[in-house]
Amino acid sequence: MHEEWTDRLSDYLDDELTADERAAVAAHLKSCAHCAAVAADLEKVVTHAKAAAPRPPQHDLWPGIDARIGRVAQPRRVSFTLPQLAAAAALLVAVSGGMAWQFGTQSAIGRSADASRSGNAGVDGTVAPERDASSGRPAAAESVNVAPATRVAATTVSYADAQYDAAVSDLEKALKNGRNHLDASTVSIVEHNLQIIDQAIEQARQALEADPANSYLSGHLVEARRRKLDLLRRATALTETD
Amino acid sequence: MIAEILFTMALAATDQTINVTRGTKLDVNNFAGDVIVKVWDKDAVHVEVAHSDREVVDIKPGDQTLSVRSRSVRGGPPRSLDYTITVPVWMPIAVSGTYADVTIEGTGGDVNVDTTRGDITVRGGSGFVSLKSVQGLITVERAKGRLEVRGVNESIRLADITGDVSAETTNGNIILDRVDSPNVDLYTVNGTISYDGPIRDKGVYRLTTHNGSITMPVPEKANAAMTMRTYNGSIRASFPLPSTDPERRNRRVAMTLGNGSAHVELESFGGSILLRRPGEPRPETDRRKQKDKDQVRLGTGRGLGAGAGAGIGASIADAVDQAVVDIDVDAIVDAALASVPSIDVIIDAAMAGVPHPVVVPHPVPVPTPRIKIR
Repeated sequence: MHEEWTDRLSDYLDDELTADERAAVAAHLKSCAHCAAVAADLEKVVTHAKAAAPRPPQHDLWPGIDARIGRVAQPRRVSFTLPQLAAAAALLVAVSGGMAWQFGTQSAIGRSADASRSGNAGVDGTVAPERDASSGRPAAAESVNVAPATRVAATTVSYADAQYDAAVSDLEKALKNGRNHLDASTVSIVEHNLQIIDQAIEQARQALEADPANSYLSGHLVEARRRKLDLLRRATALTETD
Repeated sequence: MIAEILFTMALAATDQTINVTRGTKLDVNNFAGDVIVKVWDKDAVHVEVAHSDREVVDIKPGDQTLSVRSRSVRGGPPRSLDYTITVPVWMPIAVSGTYADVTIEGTGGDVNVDTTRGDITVRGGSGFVSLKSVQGLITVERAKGRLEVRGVNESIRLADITGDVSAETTNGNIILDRVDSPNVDLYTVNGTISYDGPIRDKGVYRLTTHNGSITMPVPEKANAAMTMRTYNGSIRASFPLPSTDPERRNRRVAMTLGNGSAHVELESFGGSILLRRPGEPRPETDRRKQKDKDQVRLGTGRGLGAGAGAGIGASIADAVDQAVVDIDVDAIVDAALASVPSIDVIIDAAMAGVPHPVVVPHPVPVPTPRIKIR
């Protein structure tokens, strides 16, 4: 009975209704407590969503996802009604709010640890002084701002990421099976470049072992591993086309 | 026997002009050989290629695509063919190949090139320009729009580019000259990155290498939030930079210039990050230009003798790259020459691998790699 109105609430809140439609919905909300409550809930969802802090992933999920994309037979289409979406959104707000709070606490600790190791934070036109490791405050009386976020912020990288290893293993097998379709020099070039990336990955891993809280190193490691997957994927594609 | 060979070498030629309507795309596939694309002011495509009577060149006009392919009438792997194709300026161009060197001059449309082993040179191009080569130098000049370049084992050089730029390679340098872009993303694992261009307000500039230096000009009046990170290298500038401890690993410098509207990230795990003012010398590219000149002068480029000559040239150039002061050129040349086997040794080694002493010449160059066709 209320669906004809609740179905239009999302457009109403997004200001996508015509003037007449908007006036009709507004008039209905004044007279219908149920729909007004739904509208209020939706407004809260929007407000919380805008206020929620961004949270980077704990792990790089792409390798695992990418490895499985080829195995998905048919995409499945799922649709929800507005009340279902509203309920899901409310749940999402509650969960993400908790996670944001948790991450905020962790990232503050992470920033502190990172700053104590890496030292320099940004200031306008100048570089921040070395921080006093014991107090976490600037050693000198210069003002310190938090530096802009690096490309991958404080991601935790598992050294034995099973999904990543499985994806690499699958691609390496595919490349091995298809290498007869490539000439020897192309195979040599690909292998040489994979060695270069492996070396970079190993160096980044060793550096990260020595400095586990370093967000730059973890981001750099993730990026290098992604490049290895990209090259493996590209080389495998060559075996299929050449 | 000579007569028989000459008979089989009977040359044919494809020289054909096809009218096209605006919006038609050119799609060329050449297994091996050169593809040179030029432009003219006619709404027509001219295809010119010399080949033997063993090959047929198929030129097929479609609804939206003009397709150019070659095939062997006897089956087996296609032979090496050199195409010269003239197209309207507006025509989108797609070229693919395995051992194809591709040169596109003056085009004003989208460009898509994908070759496994071959150089790619594009002058012009607008809209979306996408270039891929596993083993080959990629050079782009005077392109506008969105540029996406993917190399693997060679360098990338971009000059006079306007628009978004994304370039990555694994084992090679990325050199940019006179680039005007609000969105630049450059990545190499083992190579130097040298950027030359303004920092646009609200622009995003991400330059990343694992093992190599990064250089970037920073105008005095730029509005940018800059973050520079290196693990084993150093961060330096030709202008006063906030002091850092040069001995400490894992250096990080962040600074805000002006209102900080642009976002600049420079990251090198093992190399140095160098900032300079616009117009100041670029030692990293100056050395490279000198290396190129040396290779041209010594005849150590591609082609016959490139194997031994390139080794000498590269050894000399690399030694020059790493030298700082007191360069003993004679000693470097001697050392480089000593590291390369003599031409007699190379020939002997090559001949030892030939099963039969008689070499039958082919009418046209055949790609050396052996390919299995499924």
